[in-house]
Amino acid sequence: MWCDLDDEVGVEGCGDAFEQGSGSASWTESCTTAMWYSPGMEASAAIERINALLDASGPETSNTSMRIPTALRDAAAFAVRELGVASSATALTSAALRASLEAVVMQAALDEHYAHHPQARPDLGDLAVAAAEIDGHPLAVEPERLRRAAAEIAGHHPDASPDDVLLWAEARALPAA
Amino acid sequence: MTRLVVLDNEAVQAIQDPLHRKHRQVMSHAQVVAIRKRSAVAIKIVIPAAVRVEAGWDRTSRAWVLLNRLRIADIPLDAANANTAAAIRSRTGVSVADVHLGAVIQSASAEQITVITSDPGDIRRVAGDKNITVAAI
Repeated sequence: MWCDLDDEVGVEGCGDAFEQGSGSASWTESCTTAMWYSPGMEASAAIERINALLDASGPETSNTSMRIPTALRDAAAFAVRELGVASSATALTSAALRASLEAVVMQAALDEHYAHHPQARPDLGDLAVAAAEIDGHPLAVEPERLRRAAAEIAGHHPDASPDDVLLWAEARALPAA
Repeated sequence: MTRLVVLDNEAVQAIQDPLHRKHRQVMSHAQVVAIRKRSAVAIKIVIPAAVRVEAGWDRTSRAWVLLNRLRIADIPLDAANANTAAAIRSRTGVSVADVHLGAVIQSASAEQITVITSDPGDIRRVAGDKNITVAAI
């Protein structure tokens, strides 16, 4: 292990701190040791590397100097002790971090695919239909109604989620009182 | 609540091939899973090993790069699943891939199971009494 989590650690080293904001990502240099990727690393290679690290499920662990807000640490400890949400605060933190990274890398893989195949990118209507199908929502059998709802909501709320569309379509389907 | 999304052979083919007529549809399912994961929903996509074999999905091949990156977990055909699958096959006569899929459904502990499939009929047959959601493609 070459550097601590404040420097964003890889198994074989570390690189630049990766900061993800609202829909955009930026890199800030902070590591003083050898990098396993460069700031200009292809997203594709980063996805591969993160996936490989997530798949490496060996027993090796590391102490880190990762700094987290004290209140958050205390909340995690309290949740473990009083609610039994995990075997330890460390286990809770690791699980949350893994889930977060899996979400990030999955979206990065999809985004890269959309960049090469723009026609594959689903629109809000497609996503609403897919969400309904995954959930077994009654409106899954009415995809055109969902697409209309998506078109209506997208005009006013460009950041609407597929679940927002389902809710809107469901409300629109209710008989007037 | 944990949710499981299981892919069948055609769902795999549809993701793998950007020119497949159902590509965008199944990409929509994958995108919804990604959105849900980002919202901290306990949801994951899995592939029964026998379905992966039937689909020809070799994780060491660059031809399968997108699927390899989507955090889709293999469910092995272990001894317990093989027994369940054999019983399903005796009862239904459907393909080995589909009976493995049935065994995965029947042994899953997830509260909600969704199968993305081009053959809803066979999937309901192999699911037995298990309550599942079928997303037909």
